[in-house]
Amino acid sequence: MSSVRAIAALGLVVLQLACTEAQRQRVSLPVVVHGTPAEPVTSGETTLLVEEASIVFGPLYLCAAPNPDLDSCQVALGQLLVPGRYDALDPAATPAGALAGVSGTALSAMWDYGRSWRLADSEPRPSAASLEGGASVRLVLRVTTEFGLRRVQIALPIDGGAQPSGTLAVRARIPTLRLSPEATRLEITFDPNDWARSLDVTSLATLPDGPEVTVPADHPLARSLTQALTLNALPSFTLHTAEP
Amino acid sequence: MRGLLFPALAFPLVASAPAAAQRAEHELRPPRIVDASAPELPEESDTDVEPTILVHVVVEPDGTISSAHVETPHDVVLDQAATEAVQAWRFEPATDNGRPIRAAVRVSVHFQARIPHFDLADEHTGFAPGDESLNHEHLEVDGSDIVVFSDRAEADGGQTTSRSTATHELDRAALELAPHRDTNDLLNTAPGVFAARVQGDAIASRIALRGFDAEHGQDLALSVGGVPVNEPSHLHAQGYANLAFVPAEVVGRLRLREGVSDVRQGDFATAGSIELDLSVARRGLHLEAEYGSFHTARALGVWAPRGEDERTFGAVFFRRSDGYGVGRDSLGGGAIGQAAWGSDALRFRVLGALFATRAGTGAVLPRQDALEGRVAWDGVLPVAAAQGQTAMALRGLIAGFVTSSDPDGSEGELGIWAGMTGFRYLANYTGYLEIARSNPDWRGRGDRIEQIDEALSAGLRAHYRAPRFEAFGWLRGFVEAGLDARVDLREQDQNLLTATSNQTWDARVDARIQAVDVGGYVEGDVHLGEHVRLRGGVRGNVLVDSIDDRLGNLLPRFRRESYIVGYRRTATGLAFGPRLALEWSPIESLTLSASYGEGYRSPQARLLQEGEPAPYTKVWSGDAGARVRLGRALDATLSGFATVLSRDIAFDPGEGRLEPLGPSSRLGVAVTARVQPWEFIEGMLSMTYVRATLDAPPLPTIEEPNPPFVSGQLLPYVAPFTLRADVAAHHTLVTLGDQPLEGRLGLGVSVLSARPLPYGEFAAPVGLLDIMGSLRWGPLELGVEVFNLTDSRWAAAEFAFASDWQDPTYLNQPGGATSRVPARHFSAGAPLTAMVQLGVQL
Repeated sequence: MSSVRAIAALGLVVLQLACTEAQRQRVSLPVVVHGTPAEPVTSGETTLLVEEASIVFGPLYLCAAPNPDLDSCQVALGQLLVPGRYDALDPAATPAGALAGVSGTALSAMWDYGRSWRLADSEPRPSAASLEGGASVRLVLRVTTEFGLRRVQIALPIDGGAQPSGTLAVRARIPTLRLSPEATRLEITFDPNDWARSLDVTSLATLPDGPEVTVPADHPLARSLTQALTLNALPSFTLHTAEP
Repeated sequence: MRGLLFPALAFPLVASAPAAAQRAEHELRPPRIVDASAPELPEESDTDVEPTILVHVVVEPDGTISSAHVETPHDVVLDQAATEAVQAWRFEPATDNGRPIRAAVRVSVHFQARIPHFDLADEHTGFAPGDESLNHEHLEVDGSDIVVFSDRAEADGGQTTSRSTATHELDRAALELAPHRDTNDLLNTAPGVFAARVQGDAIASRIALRGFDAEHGQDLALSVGGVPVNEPSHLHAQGYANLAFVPAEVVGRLRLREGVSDVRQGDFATAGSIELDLSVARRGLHLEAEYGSFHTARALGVWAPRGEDERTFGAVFFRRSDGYGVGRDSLGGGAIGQAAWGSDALRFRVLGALFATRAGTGAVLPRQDALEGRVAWDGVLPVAAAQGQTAMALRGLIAGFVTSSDPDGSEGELGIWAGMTGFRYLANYTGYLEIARSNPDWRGRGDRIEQIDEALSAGLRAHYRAPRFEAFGWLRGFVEAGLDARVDLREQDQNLLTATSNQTWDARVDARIQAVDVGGYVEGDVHLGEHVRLRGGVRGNVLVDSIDDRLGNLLPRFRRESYIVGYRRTATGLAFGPRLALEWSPIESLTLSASYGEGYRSPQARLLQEGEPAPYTKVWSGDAGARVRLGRALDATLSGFATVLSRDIAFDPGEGRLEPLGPSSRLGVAVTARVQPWEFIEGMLSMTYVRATLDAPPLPTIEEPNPPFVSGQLLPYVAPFTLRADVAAHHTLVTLGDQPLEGRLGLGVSVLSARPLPYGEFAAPVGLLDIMGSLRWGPLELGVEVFNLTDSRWAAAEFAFASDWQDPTYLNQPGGATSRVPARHFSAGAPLTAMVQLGVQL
């Protein structure tokens, strides 16, 4: 019996080799995350400098549809499933795992910041990479105003919780990414300075006094940070491809 | 040795009304015995009379005997002695104007104690109804009648049988070479066909044929006893065809026509067509019980009254099984009966069948999870939404046919049929990815699809073949016109059900379809001289669909209600195309052939828009090749073929049904051979290599507005290479008592190369070996069948799609995130399966 099996197996291997021909192809490429060094951001009389910016990113889905949602991106071209924690101020490339998928043109993306609300779950769940308290982002700002200097800390959970289950935190158009076996890496770049620019600076006045302030999650400043990370100050995506 | 066998002379078969005029037109001469040795009367025969056994003999143009069987089996020993004796005789072939032709005669083998004796039969007897399966035409010659093969068959609507490379006829002997679980499995015997049970007993097999993934029948027209089996606009698969209502034991002949070259090939004959004729050769009462792996039990009773036509029988069958793996238990049964009677001038046939079964369908599993041991290869995911995947099938059928024949070669047939089918399918391919369309806030309750399809259908077919004509001394042939029509009333629903409670949480399809399909054809079939045959004609079909799509114009939740949901529409369409086949036989053993035809496949009615000309899938099909036939020793074909489809369809696991794909083409080569080097051994081999490609970018979807496309992109699910081999040997082992003990061995090998899948994946190749052995002693028969002898772990079907099984007990995604990238999934094929059969023939 074993010889019969061996012959059968050998024949099948030959058939496999003789008859396969790919068209659409599997793609797997490394993903690296870059941060951006802090620079002062001025808004009126207020200057903000990001001192610390930690972000949890993932999972990420690249979609062929121009407007992603659960219906149009039920099948994704590529995905980075495992969320990771990154220093958004560090310009060095930090490995973020592998993007797995198939060749095609991605026009949009969906992603979470470490907290996912899956279809069958009753509420969003933090991932193992989440920050303390299940937060998605932690931002420490040095705020300089005419009244002096203070540190403001914001730690927020960001997820699709305001939407029905299954909704991801961010659904956005992105510059066209052509996934192919020639693609060598995907770079994701965060710019906390952009986050700072999007903040509702006027709401700083409503914060309690003191040199060190922690912003409540329902504060307008926190809400503006959530809006920055989900709408106004999204990370950028760059796909690198090997030279022909 | 107690005596000698003395053959009597063959006496020709009698026609109903031989025409003297034909003697003048056709100088037909019957086969003539030139040497009839006198074999011995078996010692074990204790007869004290001088019996006469009538044996039907088919004499090939080279004088060899290709078939010999006793007309009415009675005594196993004498019957065998008679057929063996006749096969040792030498014949001079029948001739038509001096040209040797194939013909059948009935000879009487007269046993006379110890005195060899040749005797010309002096009586003409009526042609036994059962002999009509020989495809005969009666012509009187010199005062006696012979049966000349004109390749006619009542069961296929008077269709002429070609000797082209694209036509294959398998008789019962060929069908029984290898073991077969059922009639769906029997299709594997047909050259180039690969059929696999994927979802249990209640779902039709997935069928592949020369570059087509015919799914459950979308590209292969199937008929049983002259009744079409494919179901137009079936919810699960266009052209869905489940043959489970027919026990394999009553299939007497399988006729495969590859490609489109015959005007009788209608809807769904894009890859080809298969017709199954029903008959039972072993007359009497046959009871059979079978038991084997997975507590599978099957009981079969076939009653074939002696003295009646071979096509007259009744059969009942029952089957239950725990099934392999998990969730594949089944229970079902049915009854089928057919009666045929009448004279050669007017023949009648009625057919009826009832069938029902319910079976677990197993599950479609993520391949990686199975390979890494998170779930058994033939298991079911430990998730509520994956449990209880089942299917149910019902079928009722009744049909009646009347055929008239005249000695002038004219023939007419009228047949009507009516049937009902029921289908329910519960499956979950994707886990938890769906959102309710009726209320988008309803989500995450599991993608358990419920499909219901119920239909009432009726149809008719008729044809008239004009009298044979002859002109110029070198031109002769027929003209035939025919029509077929059917009406279908179909109700179908598709819903999403909550995993455990089976609450309906979304409705996807709620529709009623009325469809009328009327087709007609005209064909000329002429012989040009002695060596050339040309068949050509045209066929047209008109299709009318009326669709009540009760969920059409679905109101999005964000819009104010300003109308009532629902969309009723009608559409009509016309399909029209020529068919042409040319055969040239420069020598008797060689036929070169070429054919071309334009066929069609009807659309899924629910996809039609108001007033849309029904967009038939147009098929352009061409074949060319050579056939070598050396008596029974060898029948081999080599052919090349090309097929182009205007719009193809492929399986979408997300919806559990077929969706549009785009235009496609196939280019391939096929080799078949049927050999019988010695009387006791016979084999068949077929190999097909095909390149099936998509010819234009796939249709854009919401998910993929710009689907990638490269020239020469392979079609998904189509295996480039298929191989099938069937071999059987039989021999009398010993004589016990007064009965010989006959042994029989058979094997079947199926090979399917790697198949491309969507998203650039490839399915693993498949190789299967089935064997059987049986002993037959008198009325008793004991058999063993082993399927998948090597216990190969194989996938009966593979797909590529995204799935997500969100469950705390089964997190197959790193980090617990939802996977949305397509991955290989599969449905496990059956492991090693052994069955023991005990049968008795009374």
